[in-house]
Amino acid sequence: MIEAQALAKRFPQKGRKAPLVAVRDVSLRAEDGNITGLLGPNGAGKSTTLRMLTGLIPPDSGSARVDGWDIGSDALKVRQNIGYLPHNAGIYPRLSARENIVYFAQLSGMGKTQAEARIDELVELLGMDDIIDRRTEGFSQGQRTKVGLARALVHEPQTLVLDEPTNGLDVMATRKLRMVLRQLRDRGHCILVSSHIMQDVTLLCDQVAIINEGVIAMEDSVAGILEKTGQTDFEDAFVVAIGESLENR
Amino acid sequence: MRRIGIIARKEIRDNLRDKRSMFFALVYGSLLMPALILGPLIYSLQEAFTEGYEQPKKIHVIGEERAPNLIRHLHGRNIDADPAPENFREQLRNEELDIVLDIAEHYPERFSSGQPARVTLHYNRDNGSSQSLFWQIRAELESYSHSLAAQRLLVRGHNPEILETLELVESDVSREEVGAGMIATMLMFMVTLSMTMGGFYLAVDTTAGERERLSLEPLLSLAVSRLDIALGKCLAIIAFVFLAYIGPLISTSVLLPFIPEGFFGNAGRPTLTTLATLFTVNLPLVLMIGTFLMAVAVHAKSIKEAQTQLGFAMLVPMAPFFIIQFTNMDLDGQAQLIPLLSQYLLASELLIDGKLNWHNALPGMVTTSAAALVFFLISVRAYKRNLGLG
Repeated sequence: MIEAQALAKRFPQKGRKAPLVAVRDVSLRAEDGNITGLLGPNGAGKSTTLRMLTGLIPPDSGSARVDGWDIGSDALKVRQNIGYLPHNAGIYPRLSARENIVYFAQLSGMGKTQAEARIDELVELLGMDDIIDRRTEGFSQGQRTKVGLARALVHEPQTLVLDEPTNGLDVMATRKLRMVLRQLRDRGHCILVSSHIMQDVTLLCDQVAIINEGVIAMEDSVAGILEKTGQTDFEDAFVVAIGESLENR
Repeated sequence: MRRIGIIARKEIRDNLRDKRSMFFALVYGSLLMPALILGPLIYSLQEAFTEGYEQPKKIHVIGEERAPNLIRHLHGRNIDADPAPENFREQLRNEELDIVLDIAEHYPERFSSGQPARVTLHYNRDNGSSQSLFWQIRAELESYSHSLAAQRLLVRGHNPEILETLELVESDVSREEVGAGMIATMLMFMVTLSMTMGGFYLAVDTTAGERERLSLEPLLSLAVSRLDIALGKCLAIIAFVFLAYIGPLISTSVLLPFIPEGFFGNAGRPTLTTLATLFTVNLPLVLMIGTFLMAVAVHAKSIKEAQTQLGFAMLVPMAPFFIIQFTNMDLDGQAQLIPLLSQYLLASELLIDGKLNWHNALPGMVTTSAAALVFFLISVRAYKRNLGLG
């Protein structure tokens, strides 16, 4: 479970006195057994929020707990319990897909035999039979995402944080990914997914937090957001939620 | 510890598959540089020490028949005479001939009447072998002239020593160790350049490369301390620097027997024990160059930026070579404490004396190790700051 309270993060800007406010005030809750979507336009603060929640960067203010561990004081414990897929996650091109995954499994504390057994499960789950022993140089974005996702899942983390996981995936790969995420949800995992694609959110998420200019503008289920904004179309509901006009359809 | 080993092994395996990294770690410093630096030296020394002393010199002469005694004198000094061609000036300019001895037409008459008989040496100062032959023939001619003059005075009942106003005695107290010192400097230059190039691509790939291909963020998101990540990567870089370090030492120990013994003067040819001592003394340098490369590359945002910065930074390890070769600085005392420079000085001491005073060696080894630690801590600090993620 993830609980965030008033997270804020600023970055210094080269040549400017005023810092860039990436996240102003983010409070959200992502339950176990749920898929929670963090929905927002480009530059809204989604990736920075996820990086703070995974203990990668410290917040300037606010706090958050992942499975009861504080992201500041227990960053290593937080990272131990999280599987994280960053936006456009890179992989090692001179290693095979299997070697990429084994590397992360071993760094997460798994033995080689244990990792190999887990990789066999993931190969089946993500449909990676044809690529698992190939060097990853020249992989398509979809194949790279699969390797990244397998790396994030290999140590069987309770909590999954995925930054725009459908980016670059084709229709079939996207459908397959949704199916995998639903399976993981049904097994009781907490899944937090950031996206700016409405369809991903409506088809996948049980709960949605809409973020705009570093602030959570609205948080509810898809049906709840439609009701709160008085819209029937989720894209319109999103536009209303971030305070924009519906005129430019 | 286990995680450090996993990271180091992965980086090494990853880069063993990179032809460029392998070339610079195994081929460049081990084979290419010794071949390019020591090869020509060995070739020229073989010529100087073998041909220079044993093979007869050949000169071309105009009017050979006018001075048979002079020609015989030269022949006795291992200098053979051939008739000079008519276009000898052009041939000298084209470096087809080295030297032409021109015996004047009036030589027999003036020689017989006890007057100075003119001989002209035509040579080409732009041609190295022509110039060296010029000095040798000139010395022989002066010696011939001097001995004849002495005989003439004796015949006339005078003591030839009357012409000697000074009795010049040459007393060279040097240990004729220039060759050994030169090999020490060249060896250190090769070793330093080889180590720098050997670790270059790995340092770039494991730091800036990781950042550029966006694999850094997933790595940092794991439950591995930043210190372990930095240590693992650093160990991998040091492993490649070490490979690039032992390569030139092995090649040099193979090539040393081809360098004429005389080149080393009193110091003698370095033994395997000397090279083994040199290997030990330089070990802190392996650590320092590895950590130095990492500390520079870790701050670059892209591979291109890292390569540019390291391109400039690589001049630093080369600095002692130029200081020693081209300046006249006093390099005793405090200079022994300066990392890198101290290793150059120790190498010279070791190859010249054949042994090392460990009392002199230890301070330099300690300061070099301390510099390695500082560079490593710079990298750890960068990783703790997440290398500007965000």
